[in-house]
Amino acid sequence: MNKIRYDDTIVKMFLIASLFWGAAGMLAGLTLALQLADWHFNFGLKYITFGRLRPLHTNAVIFAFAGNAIFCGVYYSTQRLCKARLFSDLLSRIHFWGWQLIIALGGTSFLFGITAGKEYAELEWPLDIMVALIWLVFAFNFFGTLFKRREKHLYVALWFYMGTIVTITILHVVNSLEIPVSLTKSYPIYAGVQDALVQWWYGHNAVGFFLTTPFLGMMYYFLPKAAGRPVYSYRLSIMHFWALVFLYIWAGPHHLHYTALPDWAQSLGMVFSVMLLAPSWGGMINGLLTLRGAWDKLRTDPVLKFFAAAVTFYGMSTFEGPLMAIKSVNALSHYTDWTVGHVHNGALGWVGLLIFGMVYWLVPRLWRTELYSKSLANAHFWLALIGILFYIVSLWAAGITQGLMWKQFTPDGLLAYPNFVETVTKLIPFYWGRALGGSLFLTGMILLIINVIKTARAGSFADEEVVVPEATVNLHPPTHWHAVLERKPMVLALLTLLVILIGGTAEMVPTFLIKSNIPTIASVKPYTPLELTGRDIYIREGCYLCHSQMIRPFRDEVERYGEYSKPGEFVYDHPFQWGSKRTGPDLQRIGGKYSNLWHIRHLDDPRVTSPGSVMPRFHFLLEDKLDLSTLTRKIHVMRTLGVPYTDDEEHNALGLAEAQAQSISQNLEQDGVMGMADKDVIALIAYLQRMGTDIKKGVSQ
Amino acid sequence: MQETNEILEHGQDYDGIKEYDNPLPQWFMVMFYISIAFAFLYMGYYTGKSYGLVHATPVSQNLAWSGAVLAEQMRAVENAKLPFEEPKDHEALESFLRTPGNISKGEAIFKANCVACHGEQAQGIVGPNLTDKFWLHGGKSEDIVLSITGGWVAKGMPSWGPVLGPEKIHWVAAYVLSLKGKPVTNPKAPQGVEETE
Repeated sequence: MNKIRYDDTIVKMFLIASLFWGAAGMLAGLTLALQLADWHFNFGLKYITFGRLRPLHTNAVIFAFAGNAIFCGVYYSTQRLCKARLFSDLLSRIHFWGWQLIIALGGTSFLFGITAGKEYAELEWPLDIMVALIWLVFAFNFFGTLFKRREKHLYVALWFYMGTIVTITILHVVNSLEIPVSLTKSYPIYAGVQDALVQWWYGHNAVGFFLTTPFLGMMYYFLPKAAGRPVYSYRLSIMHFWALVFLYIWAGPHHLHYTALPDWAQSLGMVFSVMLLAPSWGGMINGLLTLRGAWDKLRTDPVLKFFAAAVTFYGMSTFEGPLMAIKSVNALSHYTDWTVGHVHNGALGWVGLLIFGMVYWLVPRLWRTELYSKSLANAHFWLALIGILFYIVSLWAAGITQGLMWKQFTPDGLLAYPNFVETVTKLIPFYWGRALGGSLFLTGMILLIINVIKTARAGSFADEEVVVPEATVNLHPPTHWHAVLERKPMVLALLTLLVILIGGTAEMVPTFLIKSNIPTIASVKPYTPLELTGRDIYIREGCYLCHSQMIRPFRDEVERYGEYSKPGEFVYDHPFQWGSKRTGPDLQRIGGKYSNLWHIRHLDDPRVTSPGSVMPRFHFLLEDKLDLSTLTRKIHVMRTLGVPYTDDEEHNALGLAEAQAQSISQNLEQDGVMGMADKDVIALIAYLQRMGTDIKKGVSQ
Repeated sequence: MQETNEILEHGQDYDGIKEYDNPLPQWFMVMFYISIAFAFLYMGYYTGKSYGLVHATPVSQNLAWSGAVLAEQMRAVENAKLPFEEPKDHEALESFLRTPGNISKGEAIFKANCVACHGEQAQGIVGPNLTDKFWLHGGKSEDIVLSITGGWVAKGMPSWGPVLGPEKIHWVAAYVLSLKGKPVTNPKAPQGVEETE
């Protein structure tokens, strides 16, 4: 027997970082909620317009709040489940400071409009590389700890951590393959349909393997610890672990129902989502049934309250998810606030409440004292719970309302709500309800932070010292075939890797290799240099966060927007900009619909042309000078990616762009708008006027 | 299988956490098997449909399996309508444009396509005011139909003929004609030539 010290200092550091960034990320979220309820909350500042602030919010709550909480929980529990101090103190510190640096740089870069333009993967290439490196440091530190473990058997929590580490590595690397244009700009190697498939394979599994599996692992450690009860079923944990990691990876295409993604891939995405229900509920059952016999403690112990509610929300969101993945439900729910409500059901209810429970459990142990105030923690619980309910009920109602309004026809066969803005102004009361819910949730978070500070002040922190066996304990031979695996971390990790590779490969390889999946359209040509520049401004300002570029083949959408989108229209789109939410109308057929003057007026102040619009003002686009310094390099990179630009277009890119800018500017001057030829807006207009028009040329020829 | 609540003996010490070796709940496994069966049936049905083995009808008017089915739906909508015959002479046109039903249908089309430039009250924003007596390209019934159909592309008025088709264009024209003299707030300054009846 010998004595060791666990590295609880690193646990403490990650815990504090999670709360700090969490509060910041939620404040950004509340600001966004207010911006939708009233556009004045954009404050006329380009740095915090909705399109730039939204990536900051999503990335902060996912990678900073949840991310740091994962590292906190994983490092605390892994040491105790392995009876070993973390593999390397140095790696732990590099992991911590590297991750915080990424968050700080990433958050700042979003405010400056530096973004890759793919949801939850907005970080640009230098930060993508840093994420990959720091993640490998985490992986090395984790597996290193497993190798020096003194407990032969790997407890189920560790399987889930392992699945997380393996899968996130693959997801991040594959989705972030891009060619740099400059330090702050790159183009992904995939285009259009393929980019969409890769992105939502990533996006969906970021939910699966960043917001689900690590938290299930943490549930398996912290919940039985807090309840003092045995885990309900070991066999259930085996079954739902393997089913979850295998099925999850296939489900990504349910984000692309009725789009230009091949139908077969959509159908696979749907059926695998439906099959996910049971394995997801397996986690919920194991959590809730573990609490059996401890229900009386719920009345007095805030930790268990948070855990019980978190697991219940997990069950609800994993029921809602498969439901929304059914094509005929998705036809109504997609592009509406229902999706946003669903995400927050999981993010606030499952991830948020589980983190809070874990923090309330950890803090008195780390600082070796009683929690400062139980009643403050109870107040936090009720604020959070009521906040979530306000949030999801508001957005559910908003989503259904808007979805039905979009699809409503009059007896004459015309759209009942032909003006898109009508379907937005209707939602304003719901948006206030959502903002109220969010502010309650954030208030609860502040109570938590006060409680943590007060507890820490009252106690004294020290790394825990424990007595552990000299060597690995191995009392019994394995009783079950799976128990053999549970003693071999590398085999278990490799098997997990194989299992998660199946789904991604089965969906991506045919989409990439079989030509008939993306029929080409002869009249679709690459963007002109100025249009390409404008497209990058569209990405920079995060237009894709409120506007789709994907008209689904429904009668109402064809009536409202025009011809539905074809796969061949997107072959030069690096990255794709299909969007996932319509706070504003679809833009795919915006080209040629309005005059240049209209776009100037509308971007300057959307209320002038569309009374009631909630879009922020983009007046700064009319003032900021157009930067063409990297244009030649952009065309060069596009050619590397296979976009058929000519030599002339590459070497004369500047001249071509300036000539096109001049011609648009002259048209504007006829209407009395002067001095736009060298402004950002001119490129954006060029792009908007081109969008979705190539296909019409094909028809007229 | 019954719950045994038997503690597993792997000989492990997971920081004091114990595990029961309980069987998987039966209702849970039934749910899982049903979802798997559904997956196979759906994929089979779907694949069959792709190869023309199954003839599928859309679930409802608003849902489509693919673009091909949408086209079918749209054809059905078109076929259900009476064919539109363009008014042959001035009298026929006038009577069409003054029919209240056509004006109200025109209002819906106008809201969908025209308010962005002409304003919600047709008071004029980027495009001209349509409620005053001044016209850039003529305010007679035939002129209005012509302007909407062909557009004035150089000035920013798109050609709506290919987008809306003749029937809807006549409806919008009916609505525009009905606007003459309508009081509006914030009207745009007059443009073009004053026309009197």
